Amino acid sequence: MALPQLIQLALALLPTVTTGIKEFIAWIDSLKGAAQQSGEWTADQEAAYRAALFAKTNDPAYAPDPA
Amino acid sequence: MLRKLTLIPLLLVIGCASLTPGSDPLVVRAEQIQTGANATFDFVLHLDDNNRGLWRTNAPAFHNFCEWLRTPMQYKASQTVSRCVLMQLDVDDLKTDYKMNKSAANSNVLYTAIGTLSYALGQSASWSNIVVTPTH
Repeated sequence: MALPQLIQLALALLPTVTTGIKEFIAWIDSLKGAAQQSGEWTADQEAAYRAALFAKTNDPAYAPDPA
Repeated sequence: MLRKLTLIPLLLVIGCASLTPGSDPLVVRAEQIQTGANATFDFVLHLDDNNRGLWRTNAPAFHNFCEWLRTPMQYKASQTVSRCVLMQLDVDDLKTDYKMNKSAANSNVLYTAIGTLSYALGQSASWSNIVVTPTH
């Protein structure tokens, strides 16, 4: 699914959202930022992205259910 | 409701920017998908994590999809990361390889990895559609 399609989907959903409004808006904002990207990331942006990915290993939301 | 109404004008100005000269469209495309995937996986996993018991009982398919995203995988045999993080790291590594050597083989591999990540992103977005809207 292309980003513009995702944004359209999110906008269409917005009036009906009943759960997780704050997270939903943050999600739309990130999609908007991605769609508006016009150039390649700088080295700092690249490093920040990778650091954020590795930080998710400590995020409880990314941990599977206990067996 | 008021908060939603005030956001609509802001959201209406969304548009896709044109590429700056010198930027590689495949690299920018990969980075756009990476940003979108990161935000979308974060969104669905935190939504599920906020009330795992509820989703496990009332929307097991959604919870199972989140568990699929969370499945621990090996990254470069030294680190354990969740599947959704591994997919993003794979695209990032292939993008770096492509930037260092812009061969047809590297672009094909990167294109395929972008497709895989994009597919998971689309599935996550579809689940978000189902779980944030009322079903009654």
